[in-house]
Amino acid sequence: MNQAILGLSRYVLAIFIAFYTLHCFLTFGVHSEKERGGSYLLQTIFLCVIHIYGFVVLYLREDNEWMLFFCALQEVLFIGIIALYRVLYPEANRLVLNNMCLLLAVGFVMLSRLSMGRALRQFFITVISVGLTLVVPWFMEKRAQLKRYSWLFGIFGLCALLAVRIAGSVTNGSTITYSIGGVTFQPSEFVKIIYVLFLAGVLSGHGVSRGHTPVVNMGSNGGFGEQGAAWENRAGFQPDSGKKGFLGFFKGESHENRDGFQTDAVYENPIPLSNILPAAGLAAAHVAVLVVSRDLGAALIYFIIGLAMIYTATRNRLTVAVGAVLGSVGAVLGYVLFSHVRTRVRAWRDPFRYIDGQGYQITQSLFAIGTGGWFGMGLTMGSPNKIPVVEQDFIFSAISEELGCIFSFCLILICFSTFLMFMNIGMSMRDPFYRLLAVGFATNYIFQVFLTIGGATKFIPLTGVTLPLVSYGGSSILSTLIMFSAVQGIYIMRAKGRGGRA
Amino acid sequence: MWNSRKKRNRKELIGPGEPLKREGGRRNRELYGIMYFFTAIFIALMGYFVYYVQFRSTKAINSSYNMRQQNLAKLVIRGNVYSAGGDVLAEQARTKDGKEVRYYPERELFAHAVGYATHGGCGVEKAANISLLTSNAPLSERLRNEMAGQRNYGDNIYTTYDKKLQQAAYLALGKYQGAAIAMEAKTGKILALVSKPDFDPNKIDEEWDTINADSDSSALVNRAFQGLYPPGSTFKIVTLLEYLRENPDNYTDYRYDCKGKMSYDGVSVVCYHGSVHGSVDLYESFEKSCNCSFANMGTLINVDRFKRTAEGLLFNGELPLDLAYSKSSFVLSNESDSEELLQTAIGQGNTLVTPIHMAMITAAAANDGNLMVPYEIDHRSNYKGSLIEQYYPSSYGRIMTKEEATLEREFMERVVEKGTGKKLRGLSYTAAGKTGSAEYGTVKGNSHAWFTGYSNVEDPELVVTVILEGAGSGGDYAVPMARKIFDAYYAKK
Repeated sequence: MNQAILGLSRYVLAIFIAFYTLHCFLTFGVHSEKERGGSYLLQTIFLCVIHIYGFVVLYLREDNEWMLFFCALQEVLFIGIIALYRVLYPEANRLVLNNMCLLLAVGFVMLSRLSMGRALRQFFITVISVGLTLVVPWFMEKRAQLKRYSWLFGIFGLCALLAVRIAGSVTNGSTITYSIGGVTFQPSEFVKIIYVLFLAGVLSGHGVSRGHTPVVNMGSNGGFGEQGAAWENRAGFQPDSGKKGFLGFFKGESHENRDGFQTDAVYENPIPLSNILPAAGLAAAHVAVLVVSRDLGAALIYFIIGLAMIYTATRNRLTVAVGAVLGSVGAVLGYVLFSHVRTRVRAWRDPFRYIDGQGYQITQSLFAIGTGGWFGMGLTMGSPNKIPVVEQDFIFSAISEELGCIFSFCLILICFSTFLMFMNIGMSMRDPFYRLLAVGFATNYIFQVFLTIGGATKFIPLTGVTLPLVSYGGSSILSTLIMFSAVQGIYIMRAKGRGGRA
Repeated sequence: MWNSRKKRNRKELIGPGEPLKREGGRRNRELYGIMYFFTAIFIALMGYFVYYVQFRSTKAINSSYNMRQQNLAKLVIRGNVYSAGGDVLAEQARTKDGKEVRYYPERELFAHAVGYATHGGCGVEKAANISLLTSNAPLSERLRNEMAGQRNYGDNIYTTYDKKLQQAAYLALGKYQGAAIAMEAKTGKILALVSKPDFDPNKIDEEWDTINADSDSSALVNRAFQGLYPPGSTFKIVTLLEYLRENPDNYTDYRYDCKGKMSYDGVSVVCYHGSVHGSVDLYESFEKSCNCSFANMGTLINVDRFKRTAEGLLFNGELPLDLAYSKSSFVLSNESDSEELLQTAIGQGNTLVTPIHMAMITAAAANDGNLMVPYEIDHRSNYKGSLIEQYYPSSYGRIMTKEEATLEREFMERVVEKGTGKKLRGLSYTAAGKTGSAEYGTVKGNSHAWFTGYSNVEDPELVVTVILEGAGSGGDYAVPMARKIFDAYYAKK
């Protein structure tokens, strides 16, 4: 019996996650929230089964009853998260919620297999982070003056990054961590959030020079007095689904035209390029500090976030062209100036040539993925610990090796569906601030996923970033959960706005 | 740009229903742009990932650096290796005390050809390691085994090795150190692959330290693929090719008066064993292997083009082989002195070549200039015998033109008809080739005996390359060995 459970695990887990993933995308095609409810419930069940099955395998393989107990604790956490959201925020987006729990669950299974000490730490941090971030949607609704302090955010973020540069310690050749009282954390993970807040605030009109056309139809009262008006016309957000096939996914998130047409401030008056120069300059300063701190991955992420948000705000393709040129120049300069950049590019182009040195991580990762194959070796049957920093930068390879490449392929799709939902939420918002916020968080999330998975599979050079919610790392967990709850907050506001009008 | 957009917006405001929809698409245009961008890079990433796992990973994970191969051995019983005729060359067996071991029934005979699976691996055992450790048994059976916690049977590998030919090559080499390769000219199938001294792969683990420590014999080195030797006169195939390329229309006018010693720029070259060949044309120079004449040719040809020709024949480059090999080197350049120029032209100097590389150049000439990639794995079956993967002959590409190959063959035929290869004359089959006596070390007169050639001059069949370390002249020692291999090949037919 036990053998059967173990023997089947590779296949069953792959099939279950495939079903889960299928429902991630099915929900995009369903119109009413009610019908989607069935998919969401199935997803919740699948994620619990995957999680429990994973731990049962660990229990049988390692003959360690603690595994079952630990599993139960985590189940309480997941069911707690989902239940609490149902009670506190019934309007919350359940796809984002499910995906969040699934990614955490996969991370717990893998970490428990790789290093129980780290798994415990991760669990502890997750519980606290979930507790802290539960208030984020409420906070966003009640205290929306966030926008007022945009410039302050920007300057504070830059100072924080500079402080780390000066006082921080060096991790893997880059200055990115900071220790207070023995607790190490990566400020760039948190600065990312206020960086997005800063850009969203400034680019939506707050802090931009006076005399400019009223860009936002609210803000004078510092609150959300006009939100209802801003939301009332949802047909305006509806994509032209007939024309663009894949956009059909988003039908579910658009709603029928209820009220009359209302001109939209941002749509009518995007911010002219000249007005964003100070903001762009401060954003560039962030990137520059990160480059100097040799935190290449974060620098790239900040750059892409900035570019996406400025493009959204200005509605001007020129920004993309300018950004692409600047980015290319920066990449070339980085390659010429920094030896660690050249090292990584070399190791990427021919890792097998430098297999004993710079190419070691990436070749080990490729061995792990290849040896695992489509169905994996089975939990505990591989050697993921042979990859240096496997719990952080290479968790994807460990998952591929033991749970199989079908499983990890589904994981990519799940991450991507999360991104689509984030963007979708952004599209449905009229308030430019929240649109920009959603774009910023979505871009940050998906680009980080791209960098870590692309790096582990040798699609792009290694940048040393983690897979959000799956990789080990307290800072990463907390900051990602903040972003997830912030997007939930935006979604809830929109949903409530609709409710108010009905 | 800015104004025009504004205008369009106004227009849309006029109509109440229809423009609304369009406005929605336009309103989110930037967000769609961002979404499309990430969709595109994720499709690329996922496509690449699938491609790697499905098509590239087997080769990548076969690397000896991949310690995870041992993990596969926990799930799969290593498959068997067979000769082309179905003789078992390697299989799993149990010792009396029940320990599972790898058993090689042919012992030393296939030592380097089949190799061993431990200590980093060697031979087919290494080249096909992942295939041997992958089970393609029927799915239901695999599932049943996995659910019962039993290991599955790995796939079997059928090599191209011909046991009879291998035995002939093995016996031909006798007590000499050296190597012999027999390969089909038109397919690149390796039929025999012998390197001596050898070892018993059954005892590789217990005797590893002693074998490995013995650097005099270096029995673990597969000399056929990894042994770097001065090519001696076999290199005249390359010098000849360069001369033909530079003088395509008047090479028949070439004449040289060999007095047994050739001097140029203060350095000199002598013919082997002090021979004096007299007045020779290009054919006679080649068939008699006249060093003085070829050294003279060296002074006539362009060094840069010579280097390019050598590199076109894969000197200084990678060879398309899946067994471990050494890179041949050709170091002559414009900076080299006259000594090196003359020596290189006759195959001495700093040029080094592996026997397999010589065999490949010969095979290309025999196959109209088209080099077939040498291979030693014919197919892979699951343990029940169902075919999983068939390996087909593949062409590396043309490394000399058809006309050049035809001329080279003509010259090699003359070697057997009239020159140093006369011991292959008057047999039931015809043969052609080039001998070589490669001097090595500091003692004058010590030489490795080389022969590289092919049988059936009308329609080349078998390429044989032989080297005997320190045996003497190629014509006297290597040619008879090659003949034994050819004999075995045609006796079987």
